[in-house]
Formats: sequence, structure tokens, C-alpha cells
Amino acid sequence: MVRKVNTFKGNGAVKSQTGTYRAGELRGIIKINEGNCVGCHTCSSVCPAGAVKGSFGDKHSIDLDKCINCGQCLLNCPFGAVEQMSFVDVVMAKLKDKKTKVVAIIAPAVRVAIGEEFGAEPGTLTVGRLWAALEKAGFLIYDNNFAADQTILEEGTELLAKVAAHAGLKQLPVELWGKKITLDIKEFSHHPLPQFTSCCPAWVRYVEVFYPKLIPYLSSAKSPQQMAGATAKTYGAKLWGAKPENIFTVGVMPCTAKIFEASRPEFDSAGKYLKKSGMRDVDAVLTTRDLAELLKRMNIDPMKMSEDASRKPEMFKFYSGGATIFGTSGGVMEAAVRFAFHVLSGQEPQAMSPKWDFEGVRGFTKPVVSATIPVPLREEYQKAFGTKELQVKVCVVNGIGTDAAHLKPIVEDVLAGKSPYHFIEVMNCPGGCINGGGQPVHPIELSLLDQLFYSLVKNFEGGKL
Amino acid sequence: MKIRKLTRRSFLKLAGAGIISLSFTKPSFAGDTAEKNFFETKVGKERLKLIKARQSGQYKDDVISREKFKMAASHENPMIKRFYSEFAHHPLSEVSEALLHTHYKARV
Repeated sequence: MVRKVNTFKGNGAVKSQTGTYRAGELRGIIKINEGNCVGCHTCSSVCPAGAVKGSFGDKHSIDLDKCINCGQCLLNCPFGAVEQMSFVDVVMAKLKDKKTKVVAIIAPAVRVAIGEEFGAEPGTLTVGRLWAALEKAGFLIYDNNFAADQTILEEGTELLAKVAAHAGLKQLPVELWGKKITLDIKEFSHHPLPQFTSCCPAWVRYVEVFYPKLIPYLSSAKSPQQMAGATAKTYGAKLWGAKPENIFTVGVMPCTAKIFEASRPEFDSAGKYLKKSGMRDVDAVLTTRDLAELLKRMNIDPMKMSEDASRKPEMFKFYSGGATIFGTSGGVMEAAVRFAFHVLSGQEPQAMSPKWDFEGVRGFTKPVVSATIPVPLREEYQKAFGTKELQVKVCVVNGIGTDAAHLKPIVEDVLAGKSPYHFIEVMNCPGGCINGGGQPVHPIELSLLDQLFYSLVKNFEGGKL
Repeated sequence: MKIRKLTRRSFLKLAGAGIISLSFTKPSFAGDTAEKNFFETKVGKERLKLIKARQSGQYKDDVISREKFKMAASHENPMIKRFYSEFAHHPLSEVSEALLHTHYKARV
């Protein structure tokens, strides 16, 4: 059912600034193998960044300065001609090294797809058994869903601070867990609204390469993967009783752009915090496919393990419903709205009450959705905002779209100062991370006519015509 | 090489034209960029079933997290509460700024 994707060994960190890459960053994570390219142009037709060179009939190649590493070309190439940089060997070696504690940071969307690599139906939920499989392989677990909850606390509070600062407040009282803190928010009046999400590394690079004027609008919150890495080597090291330098953090991601993200030079913040040089927050990234490859090499099949018996949250395995839906378009938005609703209204969620479903922000298979969410304000906010009910306006861009077709109208409004929104979520991949470039590949089925056509092309190439 | 490439390309176009005349349509997936909504493109339509299946898995996990583990929103996660009380103090604290926030870099 799923197709094996060709990989090549991880290398390619540039030594000095090269085009749109800074020293230390990985360049060329996605590559087209010209030997397998028939020039069908499918990759071009799904590229958000206009980064594929070559027209119909030509051998195609990637313009690395434009490429945002999303891997949509890889997912959709009917001929398996697109290949990925892989770090499976590096992680295998670390697992064998007894001195090293190898930590798996498992992204939300991995749990609804990895089963496919072991024969399960698409969408099969794999949480407890994935933890069990990873522990058997020798990993400690830092579920990236826990980091998604961290992201919401940080990014959600940042959003509230900006909205309040723009309403003229100098201080923002926030009550969490029955404790009140007062945040000094004067500086947030200089941060423009709307706030854009920053968890999608392909989107972040897209902004940096194509819309640098949008940088001030991006949330300063790191992506969950990077929060996880920095936390694992500081707070995590304490809890695990390990030396930070003996911890090796591995992002397990549905995403090829996460491989790039981990190599960004500024992501050595645990090292800076601990005053230890040469330490990376995230040491290696495996895609969902890479993890399946690693487990297969170790003869571990998560689908043979028990889902319910193994799903016992503890430590960094705890996560909320809001966190797990990060994997799908609109999920970050909904999680942020659940949190903001709690803080602003003072109400506590009832776990199963549909009041805490915000279906209006779910992307599903619509290119863009927007919603206005009326939030009843607790008394002290009523005075501050001068209203009893705040109308929170949000927008979700479900995939940047080919040549940014979904995204462009939204960002053009922002740059023109006409955007009505407080908060905008952007995910590069249509559907969200569940359809990310690191996920199991289900080849597009070609019609008989197309098969005939392209086999003629191949034969021509082989000199048989 | 250049000549061969041109020949190959023109062959493809010719063969493509042949197929088009046979089927009254372009070979699937070729040059689909004009359409605005990915989910209505040929590739997008091929992906709908898979996207929906994985999305429903994700929302099923939301229900389990809420029903069984009683956590709908992020602040209800007991380990989050512990993380802040033992280590990061509160959102946007100095520790948070050092470890959980970042900056960006224009690349043009």
C-alpha cells in the first residue's frame, strides 16, 4: 500500500552563508533523482514556493534558495523520483550507546499515520503502542503533544498580551491554576496584529524568504519540537537525573521541514541557558517514515502491541485534546481558542461539553476558514476592554496552496493594514501536518492512459523507441 | 545533450498531444497550477480520502483525551502545571523567553 521513499544520508550543513541558508543549516533535504523523473510536472503543480525548475517534459530539479523543505513534491510524485535526507543511521548508533539517553519527541500527526507503514488502515490511532514500541527500542518519551500544550500557554498568552496592549492596557492580569499573575505588557503595543502561528517550519521559512515584512507578525513562540528539545535538556534532565550533555533529542515528525528547522543556528538555547557550548536543542529529526524504517530494522512492530494497556500518561506523556489536534488544520487555532476562552471568561472546560468544540475553526478540506468567536469576559476584563463580550476574529489557512493560492489574499490584506483578524494559523500542507511531507506515501494511482503515456516516455528515454 | 533533451521534450509534447486527442483531456496531474483551491485540483482530490481518515484519527484522540483523561484545554494538563510551578514560573517569564521563544531572520 505505502511506498518506500528513497533516502540519502544526512549531510549538507553549509559552512557559511549560502544563498538563503545560514551557516550550520541543512541545505538540500529534498532532492529530485533525475534518473526517475519523467517530467510529468506534478511536483510543480503542488509546490507552494515555485521552487521546482523545469517545464512539462523536462527533467525537474529544485531551486534550493526558494525551497521551504515541505516535501509536498515528494508525497505526490507519481514516480517516486523525489528523495529525502535521512538520519536513521545516526539515531540507531545513539541508541546503541549506553551512556546516551535518547529522547523521542513524537509529533501529533505521527500517531494517526505510522500504523500505515505496518499494514494498518490510514488514520489508525497509535498512541500507547507507539510509546511502547519506542521504549522497547530504547527511547525515553517526550510527547510533542506535551510541548504543544507548552506552546499554547506561551503563544496564547502572547496573543492575549497583544490584544490587551492594543486595547490600551499596560498590564494584564492572568489567573492560572487559581493563582494570579500580572504581566507587564507595554512592549506588546509595538507588536502588530494579527498574530500568525509559528509552529510550521515550512511556513516560517516561507515568510523569511518571500514575505520578510511579515516577520513582526509571527508569534515569538518556538515550535513545539524546539520547545521540547530545549525543555528536555534543562527541566527534563533534572527529572530524569541525567546530564544534559548525555541527552540526545530526536524529533519524530510528519514533516521534512522539521529536519531543516532543527538545524537553525539559534536553536541552541538549552546550551546557552546551561552555559554549555556546542549543544543543540534537537539533535536529529526522523520523519514518520524514518521511524518506521528504524523500528523495522529493530524488528519492532507497534501494531502488535496493546494500545489501551500501554496508554498510561506520566511525565511528558501527558497531553490535552487541544494539543493532539495540532496535527490537523485548525487544531492550533482551536487549542489556542480553548485556552484563551478559559482565561478571558474564567470558565473551566467541561471535558465533553460541545461548548469546548470550536468547529468553526476546523480546516477539514476547505482552503481557508474564518470565524468570529464571542468570548464572555470575566468582570475585571469587562472594565479593561470596555465590553462584556470580546469578539475574537480568527482565520485558518489550510495549506499555503500551489504558488500560495490559499495564502496570498490573506497576507496581502495584512500587509495593506486591512486584515480584520486577531490570530491567523498557517499550515503549509493541505489538511495540516497529517498530510505532511514526512508521512507514509500512498502513490497516486495513474489512469491506464497515463500509464501508457509515461511508459512510452520511459521507453523513449531508454532508447527503445 | 542539449539536442537530445529538446528532442525528448518535444516527443513528450507530441505524445501528450496524442493522448489529449484520445481522451480530450491533459495527462493527469500535468500543469494543474491554474486552479486556486488545492482540494479541487486533481492531486488534491486524490488526497481527500487519506486526509479525512487521518483527520478523524486526530479528532478521535481529542475525544479520548477529554473523555478518559479529562483534558480538553492545555492548562488542564497536570504536567504543564508542574512544569510552570517547578521550573518556568509562568508564561512569558524570563525562563520561558530564554527557552521557549525565538526570533526570525529575513533571507533576502
